[in-house]
Amino acid sequence: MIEARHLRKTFSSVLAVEDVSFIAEDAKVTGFLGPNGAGKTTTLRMLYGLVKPDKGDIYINQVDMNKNTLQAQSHLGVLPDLHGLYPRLTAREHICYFGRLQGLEETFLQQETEKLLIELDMLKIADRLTQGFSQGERMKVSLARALIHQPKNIILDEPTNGLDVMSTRAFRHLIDLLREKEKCILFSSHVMHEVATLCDAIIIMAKGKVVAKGSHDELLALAKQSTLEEAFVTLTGLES
Amino acid sequence: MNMSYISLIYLVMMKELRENLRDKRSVFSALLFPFLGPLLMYFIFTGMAEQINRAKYIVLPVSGAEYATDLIDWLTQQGVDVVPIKHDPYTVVKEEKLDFILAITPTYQDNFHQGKPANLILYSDSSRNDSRTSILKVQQLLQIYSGQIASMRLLARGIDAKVVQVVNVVNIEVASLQKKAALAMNFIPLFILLAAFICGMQIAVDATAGERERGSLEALLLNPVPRLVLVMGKWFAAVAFSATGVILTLIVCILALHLMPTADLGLHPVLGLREFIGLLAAILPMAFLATALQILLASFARSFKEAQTYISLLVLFPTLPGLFSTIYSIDVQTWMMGVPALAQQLLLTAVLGGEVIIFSHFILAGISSLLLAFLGIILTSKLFRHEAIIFGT
Repeated sequence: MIEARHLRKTFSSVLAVEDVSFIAEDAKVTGFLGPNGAGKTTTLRMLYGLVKPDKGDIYINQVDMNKNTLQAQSHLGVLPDLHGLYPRLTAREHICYFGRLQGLEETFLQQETEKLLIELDMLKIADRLTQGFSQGERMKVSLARALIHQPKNIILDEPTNGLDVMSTRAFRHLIDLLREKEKCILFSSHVMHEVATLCDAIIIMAKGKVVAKGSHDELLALAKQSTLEEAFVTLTGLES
Repeated sequence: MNMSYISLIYLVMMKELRENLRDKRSVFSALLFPFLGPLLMYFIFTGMAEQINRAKYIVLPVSGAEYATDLIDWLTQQGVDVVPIKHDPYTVVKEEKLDFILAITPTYQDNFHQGKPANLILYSDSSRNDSRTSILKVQQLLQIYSGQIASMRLLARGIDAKVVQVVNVVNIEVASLQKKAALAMNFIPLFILLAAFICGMQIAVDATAGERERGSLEALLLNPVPRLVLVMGKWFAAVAFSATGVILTLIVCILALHLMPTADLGLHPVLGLREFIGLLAAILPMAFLATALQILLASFARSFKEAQTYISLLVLFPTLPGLFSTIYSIDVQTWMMGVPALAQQLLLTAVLGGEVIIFSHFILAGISSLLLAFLGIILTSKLFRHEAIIFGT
C-alpha cells in the first residue's frame, strides 16, 4: 500500500506540488492522470524517495519514507521517468545486478531471473548486450530489474510512452499478472483509454493538486460526462 | 564497516569494471598513456646519445694527405678517422657531398721544414648545423698540433715554450647534453603522476556523469544501498584502472631506461625491484586521490562533455609541482609531504635519483592523499542526495 499525505514541493520559487494526498491500495491498479506539468513526475519521485517533500508524509507498507528511506524503498519496484540501461551489459546482467543490490540470495536470484525472463518473454534477448535494443525490449529490461526483488508496491512513470502496439499489449498482460499477485500498482499516463481499461482507481492531478479520485464510473458521474477524456477535461478545468 | 557493505562495494566495482572492460575506448585510453611517455623519452635520449657519440668520433676527409704524413699520423693517434679525398675539395663541399674537408696544400712540406706557416685549408658550410661540433673539434686538434710543434721549435732554440703561452684556457662545458639528459629524467615523475590521472579518467566519468546522462542513475539510487557504498564501488573501479595504468607506466619506464643509452649521457639510474616498489609506494595513493577528485568533479558536471572538460583541467594539477621543480630546485622539507602531487613528485624524484629514502615521508604523503581522497568520496556521496545532482538540473 502506498499512502501520500499532504505532499508539497517547491523548486526554488516554482510550486510544483501544492497538496497531494491519496492511498493506492493492494491488489489494485491505480492510474495517475494529469496534463504535462501537473506535478505527476515530481509526486512520483517523492513517493519513491528521490525527491524530499517540503511538507507531508509518505508511507510504503506503513514504513515512513522520510525516516526510513532505504527500508521503505526496498518495498518498492520502480520504473522511473528516466529508465536508461547500461549499453554494455546484457539484459540478464541488468536483472542480476539489481537483484544483488537488493540483497537477494544467489540461488533465489537465479530462479527469479529465469521466471521473469519467461514472464516478460525475454529469453531470446536475455544474453545480448542492451546496446541497440528496441523501445519495447528496453522497457522489458527496465521492468524486470525493478521487479526482481518481488516488491509489494510498483510505481511506473509513463510506462507505455514510445511503445508499439505489441509492446503495449505485453505491458497490459504484465499489469494483469501483477494484479493477480495482489500487488499495489500505481502508474502515471496520459493515454485515456489505457487508464480507463486497466485501472481500478484513478487519481486526476492538475496544477499541483489532486482534483478528483475514484473509479472510472465514479469520475464519469462526478463530471457528468460519458467518456473519461471528457471527464478529464472537465475535472482538470483545462477548457476554461 | 558492515560485511554486507563490503560485498556491495565489491559488487558495484565489478559491475563498473565489467562494463568498462567491454568498452574498447575506455581500455585503449587507459593502456595507451603508459606507453606514450617512456616512448617519447626513449627517442629523446637515443637522439641525444647519438649526437654525443658523433662528436666523440670524427671522420675527417682530407685532400692532399700525402703532403703531410706527420700531421695525418698525429690526427690518427688522436682518434680521428682520416679519409683521403682525390676530388676538388671546394666543389665537393659546395655540392654537399661532404660537410667539410681539410685540404693540405702542396707547399705544406717545404714551408713546414723552413719554419714558415704551412697552409691548411678547412672547407665547410656554416649553414649546415650537423657538423659544427666536428669542425670545432678538428680546429681544436689542429691548434693543439700547431702548439706542440711550436714549443718543440722554441725548445730547439733554447726558449721555454711557456714564455709565449700568455694565458692558459681550460674549457668546461656546462650546458652539455648530459645536463639536458638529466633534465629530461625529471619528466619521468611527471609521466607517472599523469598516468594516475589519465588512466582512470574515462571510467570515473562514465560511472558518474555517464550514468546520469544515460538515465540509469535514478533506477540505481532506488536500490536500498547507501550512497557511500555505491560511490565507493565506482571509485574503486576507477582506482583499479588508474593503478593498472600506473604500474604499467612504471614497468615500461624502467624497461625503457634499461634499453636507453643512459651511460652515454652520463646518467646512471639504479632501477631494480627495490626502486620499483619505492616508486609504487610513492604513487599508489595518488591513484586513489586522482580518481576521487575526478568522481567528485564529474558528479558536479551537468553532462558527460562538461565532466570531461573539468577533468581535463584537473590534469594540470599534478603538473604544477613538476614544472616548479624543473625551474627551481626544491629544498625538501617534511611539510611538503602533506601536499598531494608535490609530495609524490618529490618522492618519485628521490627514488629515481637513488637518494636515501625516508620512510616517514612515504607514510605522510600516503596518508594525506588518501585522507583527501576519502573526503572527496564522502562529499560525492552527499552530492548524490541532492535532487539537482541526481536529475542533473
